[in-house]
Amino acid sequence: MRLSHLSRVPRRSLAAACFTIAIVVGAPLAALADWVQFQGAGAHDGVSDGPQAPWAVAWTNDDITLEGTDRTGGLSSPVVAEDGTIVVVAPTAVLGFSDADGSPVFDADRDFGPSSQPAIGNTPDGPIAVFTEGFGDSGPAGGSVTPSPSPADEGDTGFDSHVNAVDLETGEPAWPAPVPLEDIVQTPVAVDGTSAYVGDVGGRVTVIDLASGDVRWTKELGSPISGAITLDAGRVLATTLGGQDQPSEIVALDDESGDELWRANAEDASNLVSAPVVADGRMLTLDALGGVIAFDADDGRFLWRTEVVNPIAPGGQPFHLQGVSAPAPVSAEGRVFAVDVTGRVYAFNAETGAALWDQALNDPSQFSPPLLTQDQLLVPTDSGTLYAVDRESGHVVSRVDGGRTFLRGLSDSGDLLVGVMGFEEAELVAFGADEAGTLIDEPSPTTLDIGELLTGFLVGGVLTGLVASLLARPLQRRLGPPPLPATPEESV
Amino acid sequence: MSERGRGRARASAPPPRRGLLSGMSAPTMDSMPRIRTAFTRGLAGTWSSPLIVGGVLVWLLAEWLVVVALGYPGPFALLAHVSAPVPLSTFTDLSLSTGILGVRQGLLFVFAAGAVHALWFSVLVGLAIETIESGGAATRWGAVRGLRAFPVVLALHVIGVAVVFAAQIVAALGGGGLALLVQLAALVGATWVFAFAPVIAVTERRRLLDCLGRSMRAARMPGSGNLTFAGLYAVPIFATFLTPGLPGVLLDVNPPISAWVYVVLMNLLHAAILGAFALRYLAIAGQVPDAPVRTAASRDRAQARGRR
Repeated sequence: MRLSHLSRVPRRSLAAACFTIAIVVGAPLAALADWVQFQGAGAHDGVSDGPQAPWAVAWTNDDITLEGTDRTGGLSSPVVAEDGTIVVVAPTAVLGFSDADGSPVFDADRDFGPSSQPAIGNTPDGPIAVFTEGFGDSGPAGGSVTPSPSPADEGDTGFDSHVNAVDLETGEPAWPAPVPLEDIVQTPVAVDGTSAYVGDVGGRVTVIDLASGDVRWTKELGSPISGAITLDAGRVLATTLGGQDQPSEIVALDDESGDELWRANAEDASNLVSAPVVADGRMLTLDALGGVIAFDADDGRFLWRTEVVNPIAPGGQPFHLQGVSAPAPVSAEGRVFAVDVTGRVYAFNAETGAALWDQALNDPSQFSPPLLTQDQLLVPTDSGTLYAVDRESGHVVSRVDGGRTFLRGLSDSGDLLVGVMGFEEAELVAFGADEAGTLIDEPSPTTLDIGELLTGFLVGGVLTGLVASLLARPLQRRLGPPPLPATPEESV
Repeated sequence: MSERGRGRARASAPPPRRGLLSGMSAPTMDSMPRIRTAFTRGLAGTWSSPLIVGGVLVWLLAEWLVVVALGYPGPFALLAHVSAPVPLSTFTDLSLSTGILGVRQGLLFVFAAGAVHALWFSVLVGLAIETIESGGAATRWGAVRGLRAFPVVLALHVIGVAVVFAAQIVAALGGGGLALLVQLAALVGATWVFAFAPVIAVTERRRLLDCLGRSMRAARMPGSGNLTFAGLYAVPIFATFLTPGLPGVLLDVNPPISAWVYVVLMNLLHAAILGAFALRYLAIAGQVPDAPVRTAASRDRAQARGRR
């Protein structure tokens, strides 16, 4: 067994012990601050033990100045270290904040690049933040801010892109040199106990030793990687976007050697656009034409695909791969949940894929996957509102306005949920439980309410028709029949 | 050749061929009602008819309940153009079918949606013509008479799908702002040349191809202003497809009052335009040139070209 697995066991046992003690004693349980990567853990299941709705805004930090010529990427989705330090990537910096009040803790320079979500890994010297950097000469603003030299520069005319790491305690570089990559990275970094995993747009998986910064292995998959690398039971799972001649599929690699184990694909699936999410023995992903797909996590066997239809999805594509935004389904206790770009939430039976309910929030959610708490599905949206949807009924039970648009990257920071807002005018926001708040119960507007429908029809439709008719009658009387020549039919 | 012979030859010579848009510079046709007059009469005739207004309301409610039962989640605003002529209503056909069955299967279902809408449109055309002809309210016989137009309207719905797809393909090749122009030109052009076809089918009982050909010839009559009318109608309607924030554009199967107001008003507007089209065609029906007959000489020329 690998060190990563060994190191996970005591932590899990400790958490279980704490939980048991808390239940036995009856004391309120303080949630652990440990959201070290995309959707929390290597399986990216998005399950949070953070506060349930109703919430209130606990604090915000809008005193964040983004540097560089192109700040349109804003902040990455945050990750949270065990001690509560919140880490985000800005276009030209890595920033650390305290989870107590959002105050700055550290900052470190970073080569200009996409604001992909970093990850926090543990080394013998303490926790480090692993991040990707570099747009190279083909960056969106026409050049990088600090094109730092790296081994990739030597004779390499491709992208100046690398993986780097900083010490969370000091903000100093954690590795002797950044790890060069051949292409830019737009997907989150994944970590386990010993390694960091990145997939680039050229289709390469690169695995790096956390402690030394040495490359353990790389694997060429031949097609852009469309989500975070997923880690499950000694396997490295990567979704390939596919192309005209390349299938879109999930590739399983051996964690130790990088050898290919199997490939999973679905016949009628479109391009897969999300990371593989592993929950309850199933591997879940999304495709661009609205497919929610389940495979067996052990052997990649196809289980089911259910296609959602959303008439207002741009281009007929409910799920998008859009820059560093990372859509992903979530699943727990026999249900799979997905949120499309228009903010419509779907629930499915995890066994069969049968649709259970949907909730149309009518508030686009283009840049962030949902989270799951014990009873609720949490959906951050482009309007800046955080919604809680009841997992059983699909009804909206709470909503809170974060105060600025484009809320995304919700992360569990123990007693708080942390996210980022805005792009060029970036802000960090934390939501905490609102003891005085009450839950609401709003069914989806896609559920027929015949009373409401008929009220709208009678007051809006019939009344409009009556008014139009009453206004037109005097006019028609005054005009009389028009002088028309005989039609050819009549004259025949 | 004698002077008389030359005179006969001039008199029997076919009229010079006109370009597609050559009629635009011609003097205004006296017999063609002006656009404002036609619209006013169309509006007064159709809106004052309880059968037309009631029919629009009942059809909208019934169609909405059916599509919701089939799984359509909204937006309700799509029904705003159910009563519009092709190809404006083609977007409703496409969006409803793909909104219920998804992009893949929905494209096959588009003709079923088109057939249902063709039925409603035929009835509406019949009612609108009756109000224009009689100057009074429409009766159920107008609806029955309108069913004569069903084959023509159904064919137009099929053509509409082809027009929309062709425009999208051309637009995709052009890209950017050109895409918008191409789509707009296709909508205006198709509205222009096919607007009279249902009216011809109802009032003259002609066959499908004859209706389409006669509609095109009527549309192209010099000085008729038909292209201007089609543009004044289709461009603002196309703008509503792109305008955000209109009522009823969200996923909602229980449309709010504002959405009903918007959708009913738009359908009544389309009905008024149908009345205007009917009036404008009926006013010039006797002047529409017949289809050119292929003479023996032209047949010989065609055969000679074939031999070469």
